[in-house]
Amino acid sequence: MIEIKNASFRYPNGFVALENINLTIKEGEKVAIVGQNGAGKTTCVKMMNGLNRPFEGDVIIDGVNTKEVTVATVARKVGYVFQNPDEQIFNSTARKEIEFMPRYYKLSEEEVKQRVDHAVEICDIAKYMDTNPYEIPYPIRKFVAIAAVIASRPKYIVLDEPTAGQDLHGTEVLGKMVDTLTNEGITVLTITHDMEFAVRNFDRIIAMAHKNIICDGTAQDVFWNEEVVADAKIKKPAIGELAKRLGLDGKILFCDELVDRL
Amino acid sequence: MDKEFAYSYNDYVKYGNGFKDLNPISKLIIALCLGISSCIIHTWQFGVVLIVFSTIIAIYSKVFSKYIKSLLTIAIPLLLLSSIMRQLQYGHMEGNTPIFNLLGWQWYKEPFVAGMDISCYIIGFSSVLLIYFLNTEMRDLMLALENRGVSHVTSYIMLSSMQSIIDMKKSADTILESQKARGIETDGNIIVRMKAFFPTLGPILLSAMSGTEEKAIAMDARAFSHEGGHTYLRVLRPIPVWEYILDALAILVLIGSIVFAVLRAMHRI
Amino acid sequence: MAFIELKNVSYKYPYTKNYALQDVTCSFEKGKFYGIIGENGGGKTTLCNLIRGLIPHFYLGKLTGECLIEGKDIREWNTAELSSQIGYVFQNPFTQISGIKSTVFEEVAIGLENLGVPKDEMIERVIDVCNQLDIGHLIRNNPNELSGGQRQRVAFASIIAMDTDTLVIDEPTSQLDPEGTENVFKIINTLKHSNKTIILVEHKIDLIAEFCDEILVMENGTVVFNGPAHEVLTKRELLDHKASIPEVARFGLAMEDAGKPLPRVPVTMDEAYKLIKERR
Repeated sequence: MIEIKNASFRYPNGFVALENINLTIKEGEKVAIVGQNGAGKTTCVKMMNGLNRPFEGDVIIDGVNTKEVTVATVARKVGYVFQNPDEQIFNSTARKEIEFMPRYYKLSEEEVKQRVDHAVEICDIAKYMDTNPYEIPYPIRKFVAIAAVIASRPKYIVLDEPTAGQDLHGTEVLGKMVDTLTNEGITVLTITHDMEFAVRNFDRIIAMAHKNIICDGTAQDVFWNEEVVADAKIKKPAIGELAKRLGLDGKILFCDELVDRL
Repeated sequence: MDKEFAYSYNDYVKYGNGFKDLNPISKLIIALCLGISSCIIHTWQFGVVLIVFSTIIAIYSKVFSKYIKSLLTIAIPLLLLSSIMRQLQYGHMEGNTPIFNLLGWQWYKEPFVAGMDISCYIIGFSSVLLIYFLNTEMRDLMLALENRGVSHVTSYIMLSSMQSIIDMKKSADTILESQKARGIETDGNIIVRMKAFFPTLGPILLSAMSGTEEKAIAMDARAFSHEGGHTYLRVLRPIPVWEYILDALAILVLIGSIVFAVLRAMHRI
Repeated sequence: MAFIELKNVSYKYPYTKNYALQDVTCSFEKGKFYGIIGENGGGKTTLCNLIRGLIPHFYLGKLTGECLIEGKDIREWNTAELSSQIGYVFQNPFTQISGIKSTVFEEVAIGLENLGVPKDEMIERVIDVCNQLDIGHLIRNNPNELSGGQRQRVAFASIIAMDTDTLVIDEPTSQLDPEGTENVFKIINTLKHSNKTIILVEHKIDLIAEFCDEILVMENGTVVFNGPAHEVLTKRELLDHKASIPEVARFGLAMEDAGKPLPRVPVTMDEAYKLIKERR
């Protein structure tokens, strides 16, 4: 369980990015964090893996306070995939990159192979395994970065803007990935601007604005709360927007719902 | 939009400071002539004169705090080291004049002066180069060189390599952060940190290299290889006559120092 | 008249096994807005590289067939000439900043300097473009210290300042954050009303639906669909070709499946709204 208790965060230059956040995330949840840039989304998830430590309040991961251990220790539990894969990938082939953490943990050859195969299957990158990451197209490189984190087997995985730059196939792979991982008991969190992706694949949506959480609930709770939509400056999913303009009630967000109603 | 700023480009490049506004090449000639003279004359007196000169210029051109910080980091270790070395080397020679006793260690005047000579000429040399670089932007120097016929390709390579060093430093920081985020121990003793740092070097270089191809494409899209006239948004001030006179004076100092050194050598023989 | 014409073009990058373009035939007319969509690795960027003359002048490799720009074969153009005809903006905001200029104003002027535009005219043009793209407040900033989104806007400004008739824009938002993306959309909207020929590669299908006159769908190095935007974007088969369609079009198709079709399948929100309103 990830518990953020009355946490505030201030950057070394004095800028306060989060004020008094409270949040609990349980095992196996699918959570999407949405909101405008500067709302504190990235600051918040970086608090979960210890990269950011709150200057007030506490962040507790499975009973361990992030203040008391190194970032690397927290990161074993909470894996974070950066938005830009180039900030993360540092090995000369995709395979080495994905094997890196299992080997770092000194796992047996067999276990390394098993973890790598599993991650590669989820990310659908088998044919790029022996390629230099810099020769792999950007969207696929993002999957290499994700696979590397999956292979290190954290209990919680945070994906920062995973759908950016992805095509239809890539987005579908990501959707399936969320289900597969959560079925294995891994919690998947994402920061995303892709509302369709959030609505389709995540059952808990957290909207952030003004350095705090302004709404935490189902997609309907968030996207059909006009105040929240306006405040977090998020875009209602297309079907929801259409239903709203047609004056339909029932908090419609999905295609079939709308078809049924017309 | 800041129209005033936009139209400031109609004017010559101007910093509003007599020294800073000198043409980068004239400035370079002055700095090099004085610096080389210092090496040739090789006495602490000339070194001190040069340091005083540079310090005055540094104050005048408002770069004193940066100047003194860099200069002291060179000067203090150099002074200490060369004084001690010379005492150890020549301290035992006969005919030395004792000056003081440092906790039972007798110091002599002659090796001390020899130590001062070497450190002061190096510090003097460094001080003029320091004020040069603190007061000259690379792009201005390249622009001046371009005006003198250096190709804009050379100029581009020089300037963009300098920027890419800055960019590499930034990407090293982010890669280190992401390693932490993956569970690689980066905090701790030097060995732990080294172990975390070395693997990042490859990707930093690689990403810099893979960027080059795209940079070339981007520059091509900006008509980089267009033949025919090239115009400049920033134009350096035409060089006034007195600037040539300053350069001539600096060259005279250099010639003087060569003459001085030759005469001194002959005298010694 | 077709301004860019491709006839049976195939192309293979050096040291690769597969063709990046296979027997592509298509044409682009002056003043129209083209969208290129389709799977990653489908040949969209390669097509852009060809039109921009990077193929065959920068990327060697094997090029067959004919690619004519204003009637002249691409092999006969030199890239410098082409760069003053066809502007090019691509994905990576970090590699599109020259790295040699220390203010945004100078960065935007860089193409004009290379083209030899007189200084007073240069200043006016840069001022205009900065106003038009709403980056006036950034002109004093160091371009090497801007955010990705700001850099991308500056990259657009440098290219637009050169005032080419045609612009090739390859996935301008794929590496940007939401705010940066929105600002780039605003720029594309301004371009839409500028009479220029635009060729835009973009995954954000709603954007494509809103702006484009014509659409090409690429898969595996070939053009699988090519035609007016509305016609292409409402094709059910598009999904089989790994290309996405607008949410409202998906909804329109679902209505057909449910046996209550709208008069036509909509591609934009406004259209969907109108069609439903009319029917009620």
